[in-house]
Parts: sequence; structure tokens; C-alpha cells
Amino acid sequence: MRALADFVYTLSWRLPGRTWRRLLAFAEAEAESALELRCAAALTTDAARAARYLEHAADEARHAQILLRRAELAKQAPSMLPRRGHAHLFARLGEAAFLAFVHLGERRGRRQFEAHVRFFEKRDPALANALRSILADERRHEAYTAELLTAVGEPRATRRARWLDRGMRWRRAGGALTEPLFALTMGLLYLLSAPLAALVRRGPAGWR
Amino acid sequence: MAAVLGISAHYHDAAAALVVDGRIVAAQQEERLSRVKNDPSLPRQAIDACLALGGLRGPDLDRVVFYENPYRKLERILVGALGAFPRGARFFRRALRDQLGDKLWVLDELAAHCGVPRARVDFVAHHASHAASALDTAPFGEAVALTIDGVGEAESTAIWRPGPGGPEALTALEHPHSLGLFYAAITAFLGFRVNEGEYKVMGLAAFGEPRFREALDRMVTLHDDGAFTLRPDAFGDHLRLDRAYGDAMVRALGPPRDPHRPWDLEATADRHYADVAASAQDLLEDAVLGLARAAHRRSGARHLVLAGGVALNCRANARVLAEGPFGRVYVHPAAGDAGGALGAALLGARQLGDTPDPGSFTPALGVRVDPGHTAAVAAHLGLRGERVADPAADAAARLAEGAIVAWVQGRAEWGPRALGQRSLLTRADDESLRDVLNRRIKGREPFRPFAPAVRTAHAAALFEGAPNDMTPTMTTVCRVAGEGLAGATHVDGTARVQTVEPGGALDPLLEALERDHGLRAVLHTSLNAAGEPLVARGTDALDFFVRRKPDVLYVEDLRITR
Repeated sequence: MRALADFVYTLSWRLPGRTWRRLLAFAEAEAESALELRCAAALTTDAARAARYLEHAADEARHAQILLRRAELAKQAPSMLPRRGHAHLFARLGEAAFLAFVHLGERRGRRQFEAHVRFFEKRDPALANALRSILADERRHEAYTAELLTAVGEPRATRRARWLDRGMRWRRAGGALTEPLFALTMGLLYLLSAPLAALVRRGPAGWR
Repeated sequence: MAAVLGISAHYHDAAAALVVDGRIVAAQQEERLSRVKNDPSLPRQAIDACLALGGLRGPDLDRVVFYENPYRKLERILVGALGAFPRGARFFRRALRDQLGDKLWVLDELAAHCGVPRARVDFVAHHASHAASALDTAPFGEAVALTIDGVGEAESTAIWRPGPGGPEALTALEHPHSLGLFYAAITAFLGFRVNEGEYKVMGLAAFGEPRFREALDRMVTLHDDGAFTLRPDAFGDHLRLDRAYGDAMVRALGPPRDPHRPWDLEATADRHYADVAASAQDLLEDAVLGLARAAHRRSGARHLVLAGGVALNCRANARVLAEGPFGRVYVHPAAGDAGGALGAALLGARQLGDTPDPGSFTPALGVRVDPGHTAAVAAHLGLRGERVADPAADAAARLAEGAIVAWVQGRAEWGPRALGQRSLLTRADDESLRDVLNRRIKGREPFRPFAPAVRTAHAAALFEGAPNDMTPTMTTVCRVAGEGLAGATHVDGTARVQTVEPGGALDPLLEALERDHGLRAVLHTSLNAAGEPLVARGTDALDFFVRRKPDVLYVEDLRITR
């Protein structure tokens, strides 16, 4: 099983175009996280926690830039972060569950970055170094969110955050699976609607 | 006597606006709170902020009004996709996903979020919202409204006269013949983000010569009656998911610019693109002037009000005032889709029997800051925060020394321009400070201009044609005539001046600057970095201060330094 997991992991980086795509996806995730944290800083009533969120947001924004630059190097062409929204987690979950969600994300991120650093250590030392600098921050973020979570002290927050995290991943996976089906259905619907195209007439240009 | 909430959402620039008994109480763009530039999502935070500012809860609302007809818009999109069969297949798929995903249910979503019965949620037409936003906030009556944007439900341009129930349409032009789409295509061709980079095109235009004007005239025909026609193969229209320009444009103007390459206006390649921008700007100005003349012919009105995204083109607005047939011209400061939220609220208020009060309009309609909380957060960030007795005099002294000052005062601005509530300031007479601001603090292209702010009393001495109805909200440009404005003068000798009335957000600072240091103007730009929305709250200002490092930040009477 372990060998299979290693094989899949290696393949996930080795397929053509995968390296820069994955780095770009990491950069997007970091940028999205920075937005969540800035909003959290604005919404929390606790000044100390607001400051921690702002510092964390600044780290995430810096990580996004590091990963974007690495994606550009891997692609050998410039990349651009798409502008996306975020999930408004603080407003939806409240502070305790938000913190728990961020903590879970940081823990997962830390584990993934440890694996990435190991993988690239010999293959691409420069990339491994960049990832290692991010990993150090991830460890710090994991620790401070655990500390704040204990201080906020809402026992069910972690469970709520875990359910939300699973739900979001499930929806992402579901979206990936249903997208081709949706595309096929819409393609068929478009074909079936083709006779209607004959009825479409553009009005003359000019003032109506 | 009614409380009406107006909403724009789901395309770009979502916003909410609250009108109570005909008075404008609050207006807030979602991007300022979500921190996502031009955030199109349902403006939940902006709604909550407006209700809080008005001291209301959702169920207190008599009406929630969406700024366009979602069903008519869907019809136009689907008919467009079918009309382009088989090219429209990808567009059809994406449009249905977007529409079925959330856009079609927007009225139900609003009812659920606000906690009002669905029957209290209604919509008005897109361009009517724009027209109301301008007519009902203008500082004068006897006006005709001209609304120009990309596309609403089907219209791209419309002329309106004021009526007792709100704006009444005189005539309109329909998609795909659209000046908004024309300028969007040029924006994309030059490598900027559509719906965001249009200002950059306008700034860049001053560096070029309009030598492609004839080529563009073959793509956009301006008619004698003010109407215009876009040639389909020059524009990607709504079917192109990847770009807004068509193959004919590429054939005529050459390859589009690589968006990732840094700008160098000394290089031949980028001078070419500056010439493209100048040509497009020249054509746009002529087209808007033609529309203004058509509005005058059809209405006979003495004055003009403008709204819609194209009305944010301040060079075109300046030409309409200078060369057009109107005595006065006013542009709603949030002329883009955000402004539609306020227009929808004003239309809703009229439908419920209220008369909108233009005197209640001020661009400072957004969220407030809390200097106490900001000071506490700053302390935890290791920053020095001190309360100062006279922040205006204190900031003026810093400015006179050549500092770059972040300035946060009162309620946040409505619309894309900083107007003294959330501003970055420095000396207007020092070109080197302009470059520091552009490159180090804002992180934006070197050709982007800055604006000067001056007290209204000095405007006539420093600028040709100022003050006028557009200068308080920076929706026009004026030729610079006075001294001491080198840092705030664009390469073409103009400036997008802000005139500040007594009592305006920047008035105490400008007074102190003149009294204590003999300076009559300040260089003024929005408090944000490239690609980010304007700062709204205290923590947003701190975030900017920590990352972008201006010299000092004032939040009301709180001075923050490192």
C-alpha cells in the first residue's frame, strides 16, 4: 500500500505540466487563506487574535508569491494567480470553529510540505529550499492556532471544523466527477436546441 | 415612508445600498469587506454593514430591490449562445452552470439572507438603476441621463429623462454594440484584466499617439445620430471565454501584449501598445461625445448626468463638458455596477411613494473605523500608536517633510476613487515621491497617474475649468495651470483633480498644509496596493501599513508608526 501511495505521489509530480500546475494550485490556496485571515482579523473582537491573523495573512501572501515564482520557473513562462473569492469561513463558522478549521488545514499543509521537501530534496534542491522556508511557517501556524484554540476553548469546534472540511473536500471531489457529465448533458441540450438557432434574429443596429 | 435595500451582484462589483424615507443612509461595496477586488458574490457582508449603519434588521426592510432583471438577462445570454450555433457550445455550458448555480435564484437568496418574505424582493432594469443613481444624486435638476456600460439585460447604452416614477427611457442601443465591450477588448488586448484595467488603458493613452485610429474606425463605426456599430469579427463578444478581442483586431493591430512582461515605454514594442491605447481612447471620447449630443437632441435638457462603467472614463467626461452642448455635467461616483445598487434602492423608494433626497448623498456612505480597537491591534503588532490632538496639522507636518501618509478618516468611500476617507498622500510638487509611491508602496505600473487634491477656493487658480460638478468626486480631468503640481500632473499636462469643499474629509489637512507650510495641494491616491480593493476597516489599514510600509498611518486621531 505504501509503495502504491509513493508511486501515485511521484506520478502526481512527474506527469507533464503537473509540477507548475500543482505549485500554482498551492499558491492559490495560500492566497485564499490570506483573504480568510484578513477577514478574520477584521471580524474578531479580540485585538491580540486580530494581530495574529494579520501576521498569518502576511505569511500566506508571501508564500503565494514564492510558490507563484516557483511555478513560473517550472513552467518556464510567467503565471498569474486567478482572482477568486473565498469561503467567508469566519462569518460562517464563528471564531472557535474557524480557528479549528485553520488549525486542521495548517496541520495537513505541514504534512504535505514535509513530503514535498523530502521528494524534492535531491531532485530540485532550490525548490526544496523554497518549500522548506514555507514549512517552517506552517509549523509555527499549526502551533499558534492550537494555542489559540485551547484559549478560546469551545470543545465542539474541532468536530464542526472537521465536518466542514470533509464536506468541502467531498464537494470538490463530487464537482470533479460530475463536471464531465454536466458538460456532456449540456452539449446534448445545445445540440437538441439547434433548430431554435434558426429562429434567432439579431435586431438592426442603431437606436431602438 | 419606507426602508429599501438595493443590491448589485453576480457579475462584478457587488454592493448594497440603503435608502430610508428617501434619504440615502448607507452604501457599501462587497469587495471592501471581503478583500476580493471587484467581488461579484452576493454582498452578504455589505448588506449586514448597511443594515447596521442604518440601525435596522433585515425584517425591518419594506423592499429589497435587485439592480437588474435576472430572467431577461438569462434570455439574452441563451439566445446569444443559440444564435451563434455551433460556436456558442462552450459559452452555453458555462452560462447555464452560472445561471443555474446561483444567478437565477438571486431573489430567493436575498430574501433568505435578509429574512424578508420573497414577495418583498423585486428587481428593476439594469440601465434604469444606473440612471436613477445619477439623476437622484445630482446637484442639479433639468437633466437628461446617459448610461453607458458593457451590457445590462440587453442594452449597452440608454438615454433617460427624469419622471415622477423614476427615469423614463427615451431610446437605447443594444448589445453587442457596446462601448464598454469595445474598451474591454482593448483592455484585454493590452494585457490588463477586464473590468479592472480600463483605468490603466486611460492612463497609458496619454503616452501614445492615436495612429491606429483609422484601423479602429474600421472596427467601430460612429454614426451621425450618435449611435455606433461594432464589427463582430473584431471583438470576441460574449462567446469568447478567453479574450474579448477578435481576430480582425489582431490582424489590424498586431499580436496582443504579453500581460506578464514589465512595461517599458522607452521600448518600441510598448510604445506601439501606448499608441493602441491612445487610439482607442480617442475613439471612445468621440463616441461618448456623439452620445451626449444625441441625448441633448432627444431631450432638450440643459444639463447631463452620466452613469455606467464607461462614465468612469474621466478624459471622455472632460471632453463632454468642454465640447458638448450641456451647461453642467455630473457623474455618479460609483458609476459602475456597484452604483446600480444605490439606483435600485432609490427606484424602490419611489415605487413605495418616497421622494429621493439628493441632498442626503455623500460619497462617504460606507463602514466606520474604530481607532480604539485599531490601536490595540497595532500594539499587538509591535507598532507605535499615539493619539494626537490635531491629526490634520500633524499629518501636514509629515507631508511637508516628504513623508508618505496613509489617511483613514470617517466612513469609507462609495465608488472606486479614494476621496479623502481612505487615501494615500504625499507632496504634490515632488516627482520622485510619485515614483516611490507607484513602485514601492502601490506596486503598480510606472505610467499610472496620481491625482492632486486642493481646496475648492484654489481650484480655479491651479486648474483650467475647475471646479465643476465632477471635480469633487474625481470623475474628470483638468489641464494644470498652476505651480507646485509636478508630481500630480500626468504626461499630457492634465490631472484628475479633487476639489475639496469646506468640511470635506481632506479640508482640515489641506488647510493645515497651506497655513503651516505654504502648500496648496497634496498628491492623493487610493489606500490600496495594485490588485487589491480599497482599505475599509482599521485592520485592513494595519495590514496595508505592515506590508506596504508607508511612513505613517492616521486612523482618525490615532497616529501609527513603526
